[in-house]
Amino acid sequence: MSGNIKEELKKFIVDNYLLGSDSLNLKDDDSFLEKGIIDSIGVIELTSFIQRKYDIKVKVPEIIPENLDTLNNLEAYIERKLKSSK
Amino acid sequence: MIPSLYQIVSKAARAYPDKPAVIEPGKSITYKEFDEKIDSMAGHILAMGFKKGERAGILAKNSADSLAAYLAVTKAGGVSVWLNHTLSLSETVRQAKDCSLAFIYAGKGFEAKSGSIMADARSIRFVMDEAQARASLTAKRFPKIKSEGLASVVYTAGTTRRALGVMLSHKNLISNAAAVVKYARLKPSDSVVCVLPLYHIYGLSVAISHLLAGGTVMIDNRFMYPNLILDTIEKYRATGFAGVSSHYAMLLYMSDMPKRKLPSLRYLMQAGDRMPENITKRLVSLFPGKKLYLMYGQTEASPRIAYLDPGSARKKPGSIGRAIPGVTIKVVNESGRECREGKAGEIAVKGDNVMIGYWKNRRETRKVLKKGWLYTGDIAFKDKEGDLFIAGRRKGFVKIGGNKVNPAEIENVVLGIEGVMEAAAIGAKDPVLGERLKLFVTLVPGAKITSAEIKKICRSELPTYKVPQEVAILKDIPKNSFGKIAREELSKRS
Repeated sequence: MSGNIKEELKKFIVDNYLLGSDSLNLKDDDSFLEKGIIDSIGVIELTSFIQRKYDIKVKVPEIIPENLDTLNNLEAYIERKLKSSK
Repeated sequence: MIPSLYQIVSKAARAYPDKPAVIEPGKSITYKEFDEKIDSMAGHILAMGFKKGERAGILAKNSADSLAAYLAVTKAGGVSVWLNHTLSLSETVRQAKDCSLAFIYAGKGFEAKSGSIMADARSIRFVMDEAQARASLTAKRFPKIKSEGLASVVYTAGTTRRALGVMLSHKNLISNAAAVVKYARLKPSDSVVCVLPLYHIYGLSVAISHLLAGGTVMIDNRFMYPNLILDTIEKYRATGFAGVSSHYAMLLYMSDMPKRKLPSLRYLMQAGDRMPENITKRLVSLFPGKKLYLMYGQTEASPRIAYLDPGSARKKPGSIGRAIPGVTIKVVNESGRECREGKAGEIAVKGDNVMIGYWKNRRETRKVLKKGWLYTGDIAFKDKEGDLFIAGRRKGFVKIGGNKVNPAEIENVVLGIEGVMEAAAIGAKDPVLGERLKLFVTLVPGAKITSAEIKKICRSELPTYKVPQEVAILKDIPKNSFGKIAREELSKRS
């Protein structure tokens, strides 16, 4: 499950923000903010994607780098949300 | 009036040497240090053989260093061209060639892209990175600068398929900033959180007006996480925030703003697009003690033209108010006569803020500059009290998150895709971005390209904000009796 989430997220990021090619060699702990991968419009798309894909609700206080800014953070955040919804 | 841009900082450095000029998360630079940095960079630029009147590109994110580089180019007698770093390499090269850049200041992370631009644009003689820019090289003498002289070229969407370079003089920018200082009553004790990109005239105007007031510019490039911006406001006790309507939509719906009191904040500024009335009403009701400035302008006017008195925001949330100090506005019909109250016409503007013209484009300049008046292409009417209301845009632009987009530019890219027969991009209402781009295409018979593939190509050719959020493949695109695409019909479908 965990591997799948990260792969799905990476595919979304690569397809939508890196032109479909991982030329940046995106690592699991690379900051989207520091690498300039996602901007403020992108974060709206990203939160919409994870809400739709994993059927979770992203709450306002949760839109912070600790939850969304790396593949690792995103994966951990989604897993926490899925666990708490069970 | 201060005659040249860099002298804004020199003057403030004499008056408030130890006061912070620019703050970034974790660091701060005083006016004295900022002035010395500009001086040193300008010396370095001249030492590299830069000549008066030449153009220099700034390819960098917002930072104290990049703002200093922008001002240093003008101190060296040159013309600053802040390049939009989100543009594709080919579009940036086109702009670099268009204004024959002599060199590029490359901010952190943009060294390789600058090198690629230099390889293609032969006028570029050198790239100056952040480390080189720090080398201390003061010049004995700097060129004399006239206030009417060209200070900056700012690229903006025009009616042509390519961006137009708006030529702004020192006088244009400084007089406009002085008007902002006057109507917003900016003081040396003010500090504004600037999340707007400085390659956009609105961001630049916010920075220049606050430096002119002797205030502090707080640069924070982390708006994708709006709560961090609120933290910055609280931590540094900022007195102002400036954004486009989508910034306010995100703050209201994707941050804790409604729960925070933000006691240090004295004013909120909005421009760059039309503020939805529901956002204005919500802000006014959440923060009744803070001044909300709803403003209107365009790059060709350096950029500010009008503002609504904050006291009227509740009563007239859809208005852009009246002319700023030093600017005259008239609303004219197609025969050039002034419209009566309530009658819609084009906004024309006169004042020291009106641009010199479009760079190397007399034809487009003649279309908008007539007898000293700038014809904005925006349609508005005045109410009985003289306050203006925007009724539409004659040029058919779409405004996405404050960015002006010419649909023809997107259509041009899409029509170059094999298998696409027709393309029409329109603006559709969006609660956060103000407008979003929706693209309609038809395919040549037998073509198998998908919406996702079209979107992917758009992403490779266009900056993020110009990529259509939706792509619909139709059997046919509705046309009017002249065979032109019926955009209104498409709008009804979206």
